[in-house]
Amino acid sequence: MGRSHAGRNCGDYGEVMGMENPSEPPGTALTPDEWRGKEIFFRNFHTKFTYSWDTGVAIGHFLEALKGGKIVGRSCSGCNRVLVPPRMFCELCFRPTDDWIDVLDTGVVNTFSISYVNNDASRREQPLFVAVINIDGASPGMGFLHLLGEVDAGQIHVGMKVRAKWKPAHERTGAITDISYFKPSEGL
Amino acid sequence: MRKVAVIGAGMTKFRHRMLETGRELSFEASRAALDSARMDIKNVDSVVLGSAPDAFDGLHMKGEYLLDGAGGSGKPYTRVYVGGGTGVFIPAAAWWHVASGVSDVVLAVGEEKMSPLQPHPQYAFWSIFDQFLERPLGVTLLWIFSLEMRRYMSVYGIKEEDIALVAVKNKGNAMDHPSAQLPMRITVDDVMKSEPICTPVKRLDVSPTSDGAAALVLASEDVARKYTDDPVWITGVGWNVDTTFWTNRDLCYPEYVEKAAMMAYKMAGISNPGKEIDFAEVYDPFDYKELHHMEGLQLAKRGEAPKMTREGVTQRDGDLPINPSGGLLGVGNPIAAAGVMKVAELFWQLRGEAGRRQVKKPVHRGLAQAWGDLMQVGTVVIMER
Amino acid sequence: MEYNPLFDGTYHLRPWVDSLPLEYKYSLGVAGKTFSEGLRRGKILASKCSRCNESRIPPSIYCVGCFGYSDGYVQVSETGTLYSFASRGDLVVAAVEFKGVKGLLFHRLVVSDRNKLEIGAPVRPVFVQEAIRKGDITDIDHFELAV
Repeated sequence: MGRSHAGRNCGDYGEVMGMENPSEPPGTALTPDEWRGKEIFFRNFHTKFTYSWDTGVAIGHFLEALKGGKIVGRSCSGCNRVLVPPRMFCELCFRPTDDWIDVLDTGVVNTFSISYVNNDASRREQPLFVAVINIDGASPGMGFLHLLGEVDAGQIHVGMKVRAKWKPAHERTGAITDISYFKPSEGL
Repeated sequence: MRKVAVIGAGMTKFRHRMLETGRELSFEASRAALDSARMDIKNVDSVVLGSAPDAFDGLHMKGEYLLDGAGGSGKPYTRVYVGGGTGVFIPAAAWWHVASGVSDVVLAVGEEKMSPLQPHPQYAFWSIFDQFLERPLGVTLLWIFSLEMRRYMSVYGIKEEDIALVAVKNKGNAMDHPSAQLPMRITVDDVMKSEPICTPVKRLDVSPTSDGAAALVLASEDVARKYTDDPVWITGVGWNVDTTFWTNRDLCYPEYVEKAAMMAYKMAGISNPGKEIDFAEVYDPFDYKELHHMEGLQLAKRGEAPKMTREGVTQRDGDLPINPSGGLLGVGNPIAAAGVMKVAELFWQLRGEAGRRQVKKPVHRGLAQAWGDLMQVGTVVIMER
Repeated sequence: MEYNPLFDGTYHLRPWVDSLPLEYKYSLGVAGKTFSEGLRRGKILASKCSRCNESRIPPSIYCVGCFGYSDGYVQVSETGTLYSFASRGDLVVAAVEFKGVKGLLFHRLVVSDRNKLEIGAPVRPVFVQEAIRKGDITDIDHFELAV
């Protein structure tokens, strides 16, 4: 049937895998040449799904605040936390959160990476500096993913203090990218 | 609850790209598992299958597509999914089918065919991120691993060289696995000099993308004893999922893995896992994850897994062998199939059938663990003989 | 409006639109490749299971009945029968079955006289010229009545 299956129905597969009785596990690897080659055993398919999501209550408000140059969180009086990104319910107390809180547009680098790849795994010409930034004014450990800029790769460190670099007000659309990146806020 | 045994296991090769369709891979692994249990499909009461995001192969209702190849047509059939944690969740879900008395024999199948997505399977992961706050930044799955690895290194002062030892060990162990995709004898220096992808993650810190399938046969005690004198028992299962707000979590310690492990330890009556677990197949899609997870599983104190690795404790001839199979780093990472491969390794090791992979010390109890979704799920299975 | 604890009057309704373009390259698989090669040679191939004494289309490396390996491939008979059909305008879609073979083949049916359409009617495939066959199901241009 295209490849030999002989002997595979006789049991003792565990021993086969253990190589007491060496025998090749099933499966046919394709070589790079076969993958690219003219042999007709592939079919291509393209599709594009387009979605329109409602931003919802919490994120809708968060994005609207970004447009106004502010970062906002939600407070929970159950656990006394200020949650960023905001949500209308506290996942720990499992109750509605209480109030909108203006937090600062400064924070601390929780962790960072220098990315040489795009999301399709292709190489980037210029690496991208990415970080989780814990936001000042929110509870400890409350942060979000963003980019770092105006800094050299070698200078970035965990614990670095940063400040949001906002797009000009007229360019903001109510998106996470209304903050271009975070940059060092004090001497490195 | 009824006692549940594993009485058969099988798997395909794991490879970057394979000729077989997902259905054909599922069949090959399922048939091998049934053959090893000396069973026929007519003996199987129900089928539990796992496979990761549909986006990899663009087949919506992938579970239904794969059903025939997993022997599930005309049977009670369930697809389970918890991201990368799926592979170990499959036998956990199969376990409750048998433990509850719903089924006497369950075929548990993990399948993944990642190669169809162009230009790279990595792209599918884009769609798991928050559409408002994360996708607009150009996020990739590699970012969250590298961010987590950095945090882990930073909190405990761990060096990249220490982490690289895991890749060296696992790719070396895979030399003895007949299904392995990336068996290699490499050095720490090779890992350090490999191409940076997302610092601190380098090419050789990462498991490959793969096609492949693996399967297990689970049975109730009375059925198991009819088919084998040598059943291996599942004595504990656990799973736990934390919030998707991953940037609000402590990235240096996987609490959800600890909670999953505690659930399984309680069921298995284990109070001192470091002493009572003889060896483990710990989820290692990246080398640092093995260390991270050893700590979450309480097999190492926080920040001390690198030291145990450096001292050789986790080698096949060490006191606590970790990933004697070669793990995802060496055998390959067809996501759901990779987790089932780990549980299959427990089966072969506990029965003393692992051949050249057999760990040196006698083993009676092993643990397999997987991890996934947005760094938020832990799945654990404990097996004993 | 009823009290809704998640609604505090500051809700900003707005749609966020994005798309996910996806591109796939599928392997036909072991049985699919053989089926494809058969079509290029002008043959419709079924897989055979000697334990169940059954043949099936589309062919598969395993027998859906006994979950064992199939034993090989056999060419289906030159003429099949019309299992069912549907039509709209000039288009007639047919499900064709072949003697001794489980499974149906869906294809277009070209027929000059609609009155001759009936379940059980003998039909046969009309292949496109060999030079332009691609190993696709469209290597069969259509089915026609074999009477």
